[in-house]
Amino acid sequence: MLKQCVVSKSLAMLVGFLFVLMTGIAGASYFFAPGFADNPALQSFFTRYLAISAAAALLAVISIRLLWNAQFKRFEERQEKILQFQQDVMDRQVELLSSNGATCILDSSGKVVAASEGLFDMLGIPSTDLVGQTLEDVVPCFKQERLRKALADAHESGKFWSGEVSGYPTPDRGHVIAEMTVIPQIDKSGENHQVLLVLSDKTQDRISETNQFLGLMLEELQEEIYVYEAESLGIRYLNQSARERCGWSVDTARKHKISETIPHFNIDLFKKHVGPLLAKEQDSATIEIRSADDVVEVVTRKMTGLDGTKLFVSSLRDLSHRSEIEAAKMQTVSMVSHELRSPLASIKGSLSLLKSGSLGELSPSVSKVVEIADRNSERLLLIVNDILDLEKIRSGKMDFSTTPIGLGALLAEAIEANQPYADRHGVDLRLSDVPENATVAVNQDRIMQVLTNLLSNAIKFSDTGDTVLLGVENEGDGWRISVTDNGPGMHEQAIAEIGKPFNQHKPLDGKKREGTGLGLTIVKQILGYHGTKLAVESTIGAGSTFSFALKSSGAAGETVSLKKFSGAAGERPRTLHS
Amino acid sequence: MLLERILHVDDDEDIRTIVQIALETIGQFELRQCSNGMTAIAEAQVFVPQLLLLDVMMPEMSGQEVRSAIEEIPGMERVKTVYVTAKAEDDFAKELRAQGAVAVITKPFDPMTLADNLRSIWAEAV
Repeated sequence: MLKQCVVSKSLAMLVGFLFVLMTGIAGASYFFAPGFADNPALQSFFTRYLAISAAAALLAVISIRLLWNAQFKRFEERQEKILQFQQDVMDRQVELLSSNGATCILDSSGKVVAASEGLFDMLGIPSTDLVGQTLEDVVPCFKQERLRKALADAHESGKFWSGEVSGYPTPDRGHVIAEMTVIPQIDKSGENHQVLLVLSDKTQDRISETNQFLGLMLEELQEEIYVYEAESLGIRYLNQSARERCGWSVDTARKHKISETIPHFNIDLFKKHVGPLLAKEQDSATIEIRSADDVVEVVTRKMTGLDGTKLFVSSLRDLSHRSEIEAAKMQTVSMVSHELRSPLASIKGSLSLLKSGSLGELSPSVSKVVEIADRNSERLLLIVNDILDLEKIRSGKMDFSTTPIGLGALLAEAIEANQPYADRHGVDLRLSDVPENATVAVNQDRIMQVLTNLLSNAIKFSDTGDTVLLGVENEGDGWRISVTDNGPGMHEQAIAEIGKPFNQHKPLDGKKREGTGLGLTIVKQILGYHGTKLAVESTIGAGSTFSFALKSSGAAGETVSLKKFSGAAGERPRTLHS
Repeated sequence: MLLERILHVDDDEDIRTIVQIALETIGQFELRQCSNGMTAIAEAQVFVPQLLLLDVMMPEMSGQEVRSAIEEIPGMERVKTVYVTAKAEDDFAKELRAQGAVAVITKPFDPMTLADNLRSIWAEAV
């Protein structure tokens, strides 16, 4: 701009000078022309010409001068704006740098020219490693489109940008949240060549905000939360629901112990509850406490406070409502079951009488459709029974008390019970040798249900003339019981889906088998209550083996009630051969 | 003493028909059937059954109420009761036995073997 003004001014001066020079030359040529002195008309014309020319030259110089002044004024204003802009940039930089920000400068290609140590502290990357690299190369989150655009706009249009950047992991501190400001740098010509990035660490601020939010949520939870010292049992914190139960304020609560939260606090039960936590056997402990008025579930975890004190955090949930729903659900299932079983009794009874011939001989075609109806009513009955069994297991109403029993007798009974079904399918059912002294503590009815399910499945998936083997082998401190067939085998996915309710895998031989899809679900649940799991080995085209382990038991012992185990004794890893 | 006279009470007409075939035609018992408790109590005084075969869940009087009422009839104190129920829970069957039933048969039952089952139950009970 300055250059343009100087050129304009010089040009104006030159034009004025040339104008005066040419006017002088023209005047002189007239003045020295012959007869000039004697020609008044020529003299008069020359005088007017000279005056007009001088006036025109003067006017041109003045106009150009005025124009030049206007141009110069605009240049000055632009310069003033640039200076102000740079001052703003400097002020912003000073402000940002004084707030412990981490900075770096990027050149026009986006590469880091210089980086402060503050940036190293924040990112955990040495500033020397940053120089010469683009931020995208070093910090993956800079690949985000919005950040790419912010940097491009700063370079190309001189735009400022400010926003939050998060999610870039650092070696020491995990994810960092920062506020980033992009400042375009302008050189003397007013062009953008560099960009200054200033990052201000907001991680702690966000954590504080999150903690504050979580604290509010904790206060508003319907569940009662109790935080107390593991040794002294002194209360550190109760949320609003817990304080309402106790009738304490925030400050009053801290003066009490957890044992004072309810009248008749059962300290022995409490010790039993937290014992596994103190012994580091479990991460959390759960107990259901029933009283005349309500049913509550208490889940306790051990934690370490900020001051290093060992703390227990117990959450207490009122299950009264859930128990009512469970009871209503069970009642509904039971009622539906009853309603289904009564008409089924009529259907099955009628079909049975028809099949027996006691009501007269049936023609072959009638016999055939009666057989179909009978088979399907039997299937419907099995579904009803399985649903009832599942509901009983889930609601804890299934009897799982155990008694020691000879394994040989148990397995022989299972063979005997399933022999008619095997005969119907033309399958040879065999029992391997069982050691005489083999004794297990089980619920006989439930394990019989497991064996019946496994044997009937094996029979179903066998061809006529095949053999199904009920085997026993010693394993660790117990016995592994297995049911092996020579059926089509199972894919890995089918094995993974075993136990899902109403799941019936598509047999590899394409033959359709009858079943409720609940049998193996019940098997898994029952085995879970016996502290073991179902293991499956399958060879495609050669057959499958379903097995489970049972621990040995003494010859005699008291009846024990089983609680469901989360872990499994003697679980064998699943293997596949194909 | 052989089992000869059975009083069957069930509100389901279809079940009554099947039981009639099972016990009269196949089992050759002397059978009376009622659809509710009140008529059963009246019938019991005339028929004097040896065994009550009772449905449990009936609209007006439950099987247990029918049994209690019939046992109060003079001369009927020692009548044996077998329940036929669709409620398959173990606990429920135990509860009925604890109340004095000699057996509990779960629906659906096999009509072809019902007569023989009742004879076995009777033999054990007397």
